[in-house]
Amino acid sequence: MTSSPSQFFDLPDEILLIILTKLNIIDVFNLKGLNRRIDNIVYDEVIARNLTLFKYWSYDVICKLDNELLDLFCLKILPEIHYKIQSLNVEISSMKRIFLSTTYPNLYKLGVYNVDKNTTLFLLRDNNSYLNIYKNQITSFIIRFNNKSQRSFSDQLPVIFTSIFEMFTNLDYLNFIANSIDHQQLSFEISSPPSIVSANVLKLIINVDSFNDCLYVLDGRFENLHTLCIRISRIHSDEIIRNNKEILFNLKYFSLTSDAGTIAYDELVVPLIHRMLNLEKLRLFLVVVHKETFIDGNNLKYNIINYLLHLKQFGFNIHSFIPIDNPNDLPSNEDIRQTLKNVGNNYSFCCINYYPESRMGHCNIYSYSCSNEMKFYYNVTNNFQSGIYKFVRKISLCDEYPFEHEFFIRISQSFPFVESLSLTNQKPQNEKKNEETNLPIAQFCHLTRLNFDDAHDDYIEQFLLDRKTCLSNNFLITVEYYQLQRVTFNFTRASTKNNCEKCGYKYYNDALNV
Amino acid sequence: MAGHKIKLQSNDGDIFDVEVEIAKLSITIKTMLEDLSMNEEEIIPLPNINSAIFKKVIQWTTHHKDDPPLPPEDDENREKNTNDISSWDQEFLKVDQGTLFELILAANYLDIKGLLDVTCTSVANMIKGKTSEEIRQTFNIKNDFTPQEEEQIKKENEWCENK
Repeated sequence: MTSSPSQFFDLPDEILLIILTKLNIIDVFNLKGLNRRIDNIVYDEVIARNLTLFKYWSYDVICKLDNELLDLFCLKILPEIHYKIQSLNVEISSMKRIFLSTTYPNLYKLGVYNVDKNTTLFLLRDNNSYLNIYKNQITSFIIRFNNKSQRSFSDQLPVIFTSIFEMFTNLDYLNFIANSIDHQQLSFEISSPPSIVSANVLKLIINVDSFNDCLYVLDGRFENLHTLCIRISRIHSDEIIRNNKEILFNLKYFSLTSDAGTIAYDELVVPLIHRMLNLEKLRLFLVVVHKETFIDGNNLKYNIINYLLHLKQFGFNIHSFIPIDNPNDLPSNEDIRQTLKNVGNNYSFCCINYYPESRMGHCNIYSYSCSNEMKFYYNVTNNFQSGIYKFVRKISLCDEYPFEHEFFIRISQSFPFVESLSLTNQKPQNEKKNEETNLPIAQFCHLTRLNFDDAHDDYIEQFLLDRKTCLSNNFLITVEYYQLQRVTFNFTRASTKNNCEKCGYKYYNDALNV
Repeated sequence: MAGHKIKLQSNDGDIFDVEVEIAKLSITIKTMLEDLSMNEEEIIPLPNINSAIFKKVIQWTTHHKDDPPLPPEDDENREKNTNDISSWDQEFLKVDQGTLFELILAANYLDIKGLLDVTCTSVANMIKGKTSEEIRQTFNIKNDFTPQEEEQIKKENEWCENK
């Protein structure tokens, strides 16, 4: 029987290591010098083999290490642990120092973040690039671009994509996410698309512009590819130029994401999946505009699952929209739930909304197994069924019925770590009697971006009144200025002052607000 | 079968009737029941866990029994977000350090990944952003370096600060 651990140091090394792996590398090395045992653990291979040498500002924004910390790593720590490092994630502006400070004989996985065009092209194409000595040993490569410098950049993405394969000849894994902005993605629809061919690549994670680009990736140039996770900005059928039909025997895992609505689900997506005969794992995150019926369990069963005899895991989060021609003949939530039993997964969810003004029906089905993978949750309406989505960082709220204060409390509890929130709703609140409310304050403590798009003044007020909403200390608000003026009584209203200042709007005259 | 129970015995002799589905959140117990063909009528001893800690473990697993699976570990580097402890878990973990450390060991022994994650994250949060001296005080860590070694460490730190 082990004795009870009353102190931190009674925990075994194995547990201390687990705790340290929860910390970023800066906090880990801050422990150096506390005592002998901690020093040994800090330098343990578990810590040293996978280093991330930058900081996160938010879930998708990173910044480089302070100069003094970078000095500490480059001059002291990295030379001591360089032979243990197998995986390194670096920010582009500090990358050169990190690579020139020592060598990394066991490095096989490299992630480069915040990259810009010129530096990347130099790194990948120049004979003097300090990456040249690693060209045969890097088998996994992750590249993330600097979102701020993208506008004139997308035409260079195919060149960079090609250069990666030319530089790292033994690459078996590439993670190439160009941009979170949909219209600035990698596209091979150019006059002379790159002629990359690689039998080594097994796993590809990539964002592309169009369905054509997806077909390009699957046209046999990566003959041994077994995993493809692809995000496509637009799935349109009127521009298909690569209509390859070969069976993709080697593909075992396919994940397809597209946030923009497509009318070509039946025409393009379903036939593509039919080519993946040996698929074992499938993930679909789609927005489908259909003519007559929602994408429900029956649709998935008869159009997808029945064709994939080796499928072991199927996760999905599918929004489908249909026009409402006959309001008397519409499926209910229960009808859809029943069809999900055909998916062979007892843990699937659905939510149906009807929008009478726009004569549109909306159905969202998603599998239990995917609910913890969702980073974004779109089209949240009053019909939202509560649940905790702790990995979701971005949500959009929209409805043709008013959102009341109670709704925002529910949303704040269901998405406790949401960082970006967009709201579209033109209907005024019904239950907004005055500023006082007996209900609790809605807490959005992690919010960094708040966007009002075609929103009634009541919702701007809802978020700015400190008796109704608690916001983080520094967030960016996107709102029509005249609405902001109206809601804040031209920046004199005391009850909106705190939240206004949190998003950078100072009141003209503090004396008025006391 | 839903609602079916098994008997688990803590190291101080208390016997707990626990629903099988909840007990099976522990991979250790699941393995005992499935791979080692232990009879569900048998009392399963848990020699490393006392009854007070085991009660907490049952409380946690009961609350989290319907949780969706954690996202698969992917190859991409991720933000190490130690803030994402749910409010229920935050309340649950408002315990003294000794209890928290015992919970960690229990979660490790029982192989309950979610509980191990959240308890270790909670300790990581006690370290995050603190100075060396504050960490020493928080966990009562004794300095066991020789004066010469300590001098060397100080030099390194000074060098770092001066940069």
